[in-house]
Amino acid sequence: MSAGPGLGREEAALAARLRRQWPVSGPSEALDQAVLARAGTARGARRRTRARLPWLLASAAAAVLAVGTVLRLAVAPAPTDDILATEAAAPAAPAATPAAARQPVASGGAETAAPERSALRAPAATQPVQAAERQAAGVTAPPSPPADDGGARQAVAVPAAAEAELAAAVALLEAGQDAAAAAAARTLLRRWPGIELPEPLQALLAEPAPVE
Amino acid sequence: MIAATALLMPHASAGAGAGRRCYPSAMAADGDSSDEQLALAWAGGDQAAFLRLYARHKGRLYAFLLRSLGRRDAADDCFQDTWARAIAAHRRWRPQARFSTWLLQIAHNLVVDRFRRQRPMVSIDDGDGPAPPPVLVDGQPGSDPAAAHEALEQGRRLRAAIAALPLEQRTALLLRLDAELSLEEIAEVTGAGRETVKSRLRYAMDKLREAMG
Repeated sequence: MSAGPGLGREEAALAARLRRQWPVSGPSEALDQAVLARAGTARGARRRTRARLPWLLASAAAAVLAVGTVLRLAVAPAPTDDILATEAAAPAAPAATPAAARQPVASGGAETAAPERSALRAPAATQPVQAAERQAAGVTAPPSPPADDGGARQAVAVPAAAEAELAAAVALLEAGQDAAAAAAARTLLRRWPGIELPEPLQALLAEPAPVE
Repeated sequence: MIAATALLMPHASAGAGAGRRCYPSAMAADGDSSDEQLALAWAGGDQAAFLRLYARHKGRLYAFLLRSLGRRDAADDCFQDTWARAIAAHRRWRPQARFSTWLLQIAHNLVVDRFRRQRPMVSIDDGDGPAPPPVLVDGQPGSDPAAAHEALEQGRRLRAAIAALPLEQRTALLLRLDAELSLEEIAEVTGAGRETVKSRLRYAMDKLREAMG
């Protein structure tokens, strides 16, 4: 066996056979574009940061809203439990303040239909009122944890490691490289399942794949 | 980006159409600058140098990854990660090592990491295992169905034989046959000793010879 860079006869024959019987095309165009975008990201971060400023601001605002929602969910009592607790306590004080005790239920049709949602939207200013009503009704049950809405409102933060790839995918989309952007977005989803993609990327992925 | 695309298209094939010799030949065909000169220029901020390096190396790097991993999605991931790491570290590159060796070293480390995460590995010959590696066949089989079938069967046997090799032997074999690295360079890429590499290559060749008949 030759130790130098040149292949021996058997090695050369096997190499030729390998290329003939297992030919491999190069990387796809989408992969090319993803790598090139990444290289561009590494070099011109400042310029691209300026270009991406609106998107970054929108993302920051969305993150602040998401955190606010989570915090509000963490402290807000759920009307469902108000109802249950009030009804459980009703026999003890049936004539005390029935109207006040049932106030959250009677406050509106939408809330009656979907009490969990109403908890999410309830302004913080109503909480002292509800607490006072509970106290007046003799209800001593503590506020329950926030209602579970199936995870729809749980914010999925973008991992720091995914930031660069997400930015690259958005840059590709902005450059009109839809196929490359879609490929990059799919890679992101595969690596970080549940990651929150910007709306344009979500829309792009929702489109039917072009026939090649 | 448009200029970059124009520079990189059409895609250089790592298969039969690509330069048969290793990087030096590709270098000569691509201009006067060596990989190392281009890498230094890239480290100095020359983006065009990166594009030339990428155009030179992407085909063989991708072929190495695809044949090592056997799956196109895995090869895509590792290909992207390899360049991401190279891009992140290129300013620290020094001409003590060849650029191609450095790049393959990054790729090899990623392949090893991936195999460690995915154990136990499954041979492509296992009935319940994954499908044979998806590959793009550049040429069409001939008009003779029997000959075409035989060619496909031989290709399948070759892929299966390579997939059945232990990772260390497979890596050494592909770096030797495909990238045409010397024993010393393979040792540098894999972090093994020269004699170890030589031994791995001998075992791999023996097994391939036996499998291919």
